[in-house]
Amino acid sequence: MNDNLVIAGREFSSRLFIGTGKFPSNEVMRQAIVASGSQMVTTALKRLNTQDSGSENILDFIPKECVLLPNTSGVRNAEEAVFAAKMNRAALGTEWLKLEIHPDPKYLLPDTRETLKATEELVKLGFKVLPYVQADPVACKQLEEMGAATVMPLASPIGTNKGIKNEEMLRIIIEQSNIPVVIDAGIGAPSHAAYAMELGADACLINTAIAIAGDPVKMAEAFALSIKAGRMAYLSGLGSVSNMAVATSPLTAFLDEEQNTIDNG
Amino acid sequence: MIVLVNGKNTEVTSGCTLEKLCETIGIKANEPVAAAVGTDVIDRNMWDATILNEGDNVTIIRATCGG
Repeated sequence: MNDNLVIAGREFSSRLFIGTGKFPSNEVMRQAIVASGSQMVTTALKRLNTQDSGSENILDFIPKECVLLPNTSGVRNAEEAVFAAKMNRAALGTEWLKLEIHPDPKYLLPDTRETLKATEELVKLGFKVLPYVQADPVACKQLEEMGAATVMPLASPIGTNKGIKNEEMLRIIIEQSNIPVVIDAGIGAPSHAAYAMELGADACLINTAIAIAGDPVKMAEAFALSIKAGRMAYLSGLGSVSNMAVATSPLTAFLDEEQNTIDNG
Repeated sequence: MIVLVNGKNTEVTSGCTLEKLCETIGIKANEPVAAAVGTDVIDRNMWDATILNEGDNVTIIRATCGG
């Protein structure tokens, strides 16, 4: 069965997206991306140091078959986000965009008002907009109506590795969404990712948990497996939850017969 | 004349193009960079046709690692 994820008309057989920040080296990052099997990889932009323009080219470390998903990290409002989006498009020749507007450096929480404003503008400009957003079901529906390619609600603040701290809101977002829901930020362990997929998320975007692991390459593979397992479990239909024990073997009948035997002996 | 490049005053010759400025900085042809003059993002194939003026505010960015 083809269970490919489709975003803006493009098919992805992997439901794990990888962020490229914080890796110990570009080479380790490359190996981790390969081990993860990811087909969607984020990048950021920075001002070029005009005194030292000779640093490594990130594109040399991202497999060619991956879709590049440049982000707008560092912008404070919709206007700056649109500028950053255009710069990304000019630098990388792609209309894919991870829209992120988080003016507060302490918690890096997305600014909903500016994110909505920027999404509306960027969709008109032809971008495939994947907005990083609060786990806010109302905002997520509004983004969908504006033409966002996905919504990417956070599980917990960026880089915290705390896992899913807003499960009820994510459940509502997943239930209501007609576009893919990608859980972005805060996923700290493969078990968190598996759980997100069991809830019905369409994909997870992981960066910190892989990049700062003792062995990022092995961790990337662990995430790939957990996301596959979680997806399979979701498609299989999880069993219902009960407050009372429900026997899995005919224990009572067996004991009754044994009791009878003893009694009769 | 003086133009502002990523916030730094930079001396360039009169009539200098964006292409020439980027070449002077050392940007290679295949690098994932983009440039804007003011808020206008200039497509790479237009760098050569973009003549800088005194006091222009040039922003040059590079794609880098990030999540």
